[in-house]
Amino acid sequence: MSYFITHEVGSLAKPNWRVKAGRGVPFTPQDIEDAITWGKKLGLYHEPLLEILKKKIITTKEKAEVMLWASKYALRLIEHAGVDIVYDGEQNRSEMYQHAVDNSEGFVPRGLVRSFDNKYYQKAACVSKPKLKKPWHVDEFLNLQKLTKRKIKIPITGAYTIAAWSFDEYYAKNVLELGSVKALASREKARRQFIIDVARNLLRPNIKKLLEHGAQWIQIDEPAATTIPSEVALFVESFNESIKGLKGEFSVHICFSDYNLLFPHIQKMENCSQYDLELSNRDSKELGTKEGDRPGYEILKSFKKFGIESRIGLGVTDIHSDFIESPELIRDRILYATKILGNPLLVNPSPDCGLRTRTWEVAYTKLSNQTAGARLAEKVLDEK
Amino acid sequence: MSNIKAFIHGVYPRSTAFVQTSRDVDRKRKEFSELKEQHKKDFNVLFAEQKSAKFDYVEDGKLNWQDVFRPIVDAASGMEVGPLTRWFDNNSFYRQPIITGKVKLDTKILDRFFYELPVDLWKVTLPSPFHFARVTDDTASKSFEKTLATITELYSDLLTYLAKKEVAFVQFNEPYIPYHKVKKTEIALLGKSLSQLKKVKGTMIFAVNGYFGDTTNLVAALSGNTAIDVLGIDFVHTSLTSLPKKLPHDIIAGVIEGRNSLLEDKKTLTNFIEKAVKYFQPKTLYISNNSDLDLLPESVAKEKIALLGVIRKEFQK
Repeated sequence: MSYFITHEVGSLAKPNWRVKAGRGVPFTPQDIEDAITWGKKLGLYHEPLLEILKKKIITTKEKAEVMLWASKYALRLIEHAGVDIVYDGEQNRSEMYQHAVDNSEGFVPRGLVRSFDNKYYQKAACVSKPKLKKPWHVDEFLNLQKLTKRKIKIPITGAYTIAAWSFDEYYAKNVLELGSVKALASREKARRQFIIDVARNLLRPNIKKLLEHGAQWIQIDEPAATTIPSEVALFVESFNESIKGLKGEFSVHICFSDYNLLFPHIQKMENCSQYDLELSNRDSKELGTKEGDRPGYEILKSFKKFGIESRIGLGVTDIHSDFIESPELIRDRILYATKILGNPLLVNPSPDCGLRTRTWEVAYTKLSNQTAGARLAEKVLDEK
Repeated sequence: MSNIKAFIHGVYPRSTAFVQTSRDVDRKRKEFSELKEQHKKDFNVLFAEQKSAKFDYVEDGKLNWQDVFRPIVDAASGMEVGPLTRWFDNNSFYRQPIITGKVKLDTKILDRFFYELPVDLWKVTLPSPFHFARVTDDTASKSFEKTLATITELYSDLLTYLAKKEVAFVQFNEPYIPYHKVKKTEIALLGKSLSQLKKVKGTMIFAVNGYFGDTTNLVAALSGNTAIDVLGIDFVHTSLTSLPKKLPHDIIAGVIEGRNSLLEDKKTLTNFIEKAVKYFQPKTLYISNNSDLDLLPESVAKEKIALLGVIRKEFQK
């Protein structure tokens, strides 16, 4: 019996030919070779793409075509690996935060801020009330609808993460007072207003537009959800505000976070059908389903304890490592989670997060093994 | 009558050119010598900015430090760098220090991490020994007090090295205690550690600066400790009236927000500084950033330095 619906979570690496088209850099014979190899492997008729890649200079129209080809390739890779719920690996987005603020009014870029070592990210400041410039993902969704028959889950950067990764030069400007209890309270109030406005003015209209165009399932990405422990309740409020009054399926993806901080706050999340979690990164690589064998999945006991009845998007492959999880290891992770949650239908295997830092070869193998692992787990359950 | 002085502290943001060069070096498109050259250029710019703002002490901005612990960990035998760990509640990370054996500092390695500055102005910021010990994974001991003793010993060598170089002012940054609301009884351990370091203090000024939370308990617990000359308070998170009046220490007023790009209002700052001076009546009140400025882009940090300079000049008048 088929219990486990497999997912992808978001991004995939962009092929070199897609990156070069975006930057206006000439293609190399290797780029063409890559397009041929993957085109054949995925069973795609790719001749029209090759015609473009063979050109020394491409037009704006051809550039747009290359972008669509990247979507087609990535989507087909995910389908070919046997994934049930699909997207295109965000081939037409710059980066999850950048894409969101670039397509919104009220934000201006302020410059580079260090993440760690020599790694930096562009940080913007909110300088006026956030407003939607244009819906972020409608074109992308309409294109994908034409390309697949499988169910699509659209990832969208969440309100709390957008606010948490931005400076606030608008809401905070009236609370510059220092050294007073009153100022502290006013600052908290201003912070809440900022986050809620992002939810109401950016997320909600975006999601509404997607639903109007036929989207069924929206995944709200909130990697910053637990960054400020005292604000987890605010993250929950922003999720509820983002989907208030809308009819569709909504889930949340939270990764590289302290999941313990989510409790009990997430009991107040409304209509959250699934929590996509990064778990395999915290787990042992040994096989086993006995108590204590799967330290990465212990947190699921808290979901059970706090009565969270939503499904779990179960991270079964580590996205920061080329280690290939065997189908047997994935099987055991699925079975262990099933044992904790008490219902296989609450377990949807997926990668820990987007696979964009892995090569396509590695990503494909991980996703294929995810499918194989799900089937092995079903076999075990059927034999019981 | 109090003196109003100014300075910055901690890690300063790198310039866009520095970031690009470090990326190029990582991708082997440029030689490491070019990064060193860029570092020198950025250091000179930062030094000039501090001079132009007429700061009373100057720092090197730790432009080649990958995080506030790394050079110290790299220079110590018996220590290793561990996993990436979130820097409190920020979208920024450091490598957790790990104690793996007997810790001993090799000060020769430190030379390239402490850029020489004019001795009478030379200020260095270090993580407080308490903070350092709290975030360290000590494989040799499960006792925090033992870990703190190890770090205190390490700091004894580090401060001896800085004293030899004639550093004038050492600021110990302490975000851990305010952020985690550590109790006064435990804060006393920091006081004890600093008292032990008094023997290597020489003529250096010692300051403890709290941030990322309410610093009331930190100030109350350390007040009167004779190893500490200056206490630093994060006034974005601390109410003035919750603090003891007339402290027997000079004060660092953390009034420039290190985590938001919004530029402070000059009048609000001036009014608050006047209020703080009246409240504490310190010999010297240093105006400064509350937390390190490296959570801001360089262009914003530059504006904040200039504003500090303007305010200092107004009070000097």
